[in-house]
Amino acid sequence: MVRHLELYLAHLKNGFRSFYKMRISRVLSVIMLVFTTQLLWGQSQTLDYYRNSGKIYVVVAVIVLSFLGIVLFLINLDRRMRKMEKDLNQK
Amino acid sequence: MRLEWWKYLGIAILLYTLLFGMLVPLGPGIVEASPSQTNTGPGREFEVWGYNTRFSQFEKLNVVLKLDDNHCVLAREYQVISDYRLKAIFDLPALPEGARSSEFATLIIYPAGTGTAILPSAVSMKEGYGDSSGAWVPESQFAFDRNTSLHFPYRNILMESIRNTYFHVALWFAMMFILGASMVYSIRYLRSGLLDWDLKANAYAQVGILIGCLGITTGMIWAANTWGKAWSWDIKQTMAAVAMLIYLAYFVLRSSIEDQEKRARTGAAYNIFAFATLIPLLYVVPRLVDSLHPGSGGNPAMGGEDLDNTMRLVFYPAIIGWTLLGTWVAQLTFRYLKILYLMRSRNLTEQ
Repeated sequence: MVRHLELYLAHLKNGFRSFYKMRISRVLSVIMLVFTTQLLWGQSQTLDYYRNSGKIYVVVAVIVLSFLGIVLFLINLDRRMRKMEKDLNQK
Repeated sequence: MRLEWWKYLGIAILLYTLLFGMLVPLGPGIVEASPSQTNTGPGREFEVWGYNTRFSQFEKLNVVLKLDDNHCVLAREYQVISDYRLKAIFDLPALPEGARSSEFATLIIYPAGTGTAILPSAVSMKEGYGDSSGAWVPESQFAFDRNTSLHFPYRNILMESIRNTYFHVALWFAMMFILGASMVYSIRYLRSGLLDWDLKANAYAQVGILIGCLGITTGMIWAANTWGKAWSWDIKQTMAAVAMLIYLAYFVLRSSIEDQEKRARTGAAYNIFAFATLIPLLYVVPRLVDSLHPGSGGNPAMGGEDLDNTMRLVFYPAIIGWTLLGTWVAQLTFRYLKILYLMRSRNLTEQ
């Protein structure tokens, strides 16, 4: 799981060479996020705990993930724009 | 002047969804009745675990086992152990004529908290031994109160996670609207040839796929805790994944064509095709076969106990809220794509 996270972070850092590649690597990032969360949840799950808490943590996790997903998209957009602005200032 | 208020409206609606969706309590429910199998006869004892119940607050509880509208039996006596636990002793009369060799009975307790607690198919009853003094009575004998306080329905297995309806389910609805908008922009592009429409279609498709991937991931978390497995190749799960792949191919297709105009035209045509396959994949095929999702086998997906009137108060605004937020993000993406396009056509960037 740590390996997945590392890969995912590496993607964020230096995966983007061209505009087109950027789009594909973003797709990869989302897929990796999917696997990361699945691994996380597969390991930490104990049925009794959720039965006692009425599974409210499932709802919290779902909300956090939806929020994170949209924020990650915005961060990515922000990066792409900064890059564009840099080009604009250079020329 | 640019119209801005809908963005804040979207955020306000989402905040309302979050507050209302998380703070309204669940109605009382029964988690388990033990044993779950019994023979008819006198002195059958059951232990009952409740959820959100307040057994000890009421002077008299009605603990009832119900076969059908005309065959109910009241517990002879019961003993409250705590707010969430009680023991009940039934004198179960012989199964009525025409019954199968074993029948499922629904356990009903009222008042149990803010209303009635019900566990469908709680106990499987078989013809037993011993004479019983109990007798079947019709349900109309008991005035089960309608739950009037503000609450979401308690459903076994789902429990509190029924609130995911406002997040996971609403996200999918929002995705349909956003991808629908993307398709409309593609049609507009093909009709007018203005590149702006194609950039819009691209931006909306990006956000639609983001929301779709979030829908799949949140669904997996929900599934892991209710169906037992994150991915069980349920027909709707599988079809959703197929739909996502079809849309991923849209981006791959676009990125493989260098010429701007050609890319826009091919992309627009493909986008219309992708949306046209999305509807049957998500809304037709899963209804034709067995599925863990509600709505399989021709049932209405959003009705009855899956979505009661209190839930509608949150669910419909939630769809609007997520759609508005998605539209906002898509418009930002469009503005970025447009500036990038203008810069590229003036050789201001190599991206």
